[in-house]
Amino acid sequence: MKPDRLSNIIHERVRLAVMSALAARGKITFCELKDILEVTDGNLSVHATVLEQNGLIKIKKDFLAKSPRTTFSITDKGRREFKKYIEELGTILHDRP
Amino acid sequence: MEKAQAISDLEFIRKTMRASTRYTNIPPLGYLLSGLFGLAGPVYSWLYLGAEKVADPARIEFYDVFTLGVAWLTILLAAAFASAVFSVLRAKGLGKSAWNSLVARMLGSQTPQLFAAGILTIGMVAHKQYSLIPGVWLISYGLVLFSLYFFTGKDHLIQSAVFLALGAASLFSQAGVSLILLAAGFGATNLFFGVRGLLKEKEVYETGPAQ
Repeated sequence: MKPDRLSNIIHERVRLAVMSALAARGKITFCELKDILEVTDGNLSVHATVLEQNGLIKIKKDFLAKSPRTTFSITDKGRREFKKYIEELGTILHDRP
Repeated sequence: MEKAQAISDLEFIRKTMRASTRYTNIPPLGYLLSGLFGLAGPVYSWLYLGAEKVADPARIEFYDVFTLGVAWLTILLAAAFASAVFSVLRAKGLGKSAWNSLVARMLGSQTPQLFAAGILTIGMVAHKQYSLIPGVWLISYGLVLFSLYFFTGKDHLIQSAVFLALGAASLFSQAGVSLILLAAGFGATNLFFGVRGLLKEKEVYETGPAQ
């Protein structure tokens, strides 16, 4: 099975991790996500931007106690596409010998 | 995409989702309140019994046992309630349900240890082996934490080791020292992890770099 374009976007390892974490938590801060995924700031930023550009996540920047804070949240489209991706993986598992 | 790759991806997704929810365990404020309750128990026991009965548990009477039993049961329920309330509040804040299959499995995994602790306590009271109670409680709770470790992270493994060590030491200590070790476990250890958790949350939520 050849993954479609959105699956290809999710399929990359860091982006898949971001989507998995957000699917489980819904909303998560940049620092917490970086801690969970053990990736660099730059790496996480680049991949999160790709997901945002494709409408799969939202990135919100604000301030908490005078400190800047970045929060990621999964969109409805993101949930649908993540579910679709999981279903694709399930199909591969069942169809391939 | 090959089947092996799909299996690997699904495993990766599962691990990541599990890692991301490890932060939904008992929040720091729950630990702090539990720690305060955990300190209150041994302090109350010491004050209620007095130095003579603490030094010589054979002098403890039935009504002492009843009074302390009620006090400790109240403390246990209050600590459990506080932890549950803060866990629910945290889950709500995250837009997640506080009850899910993972929580059910976590609680289920603790049932045998808690049952054993209860039965052992009744047995020790029946045989007037009061000085052993703190050690058994500490070890039982250490086992509870060890079972939680499989669902959460290394914090519970560290806490488990602390409680098991304190419990082991308590079993070979004088009754007065056992009460102090009980306070060190349920009081100081929980307070320590509560403060540590608060600092970690502060670091995570307030001082993160803008990206």
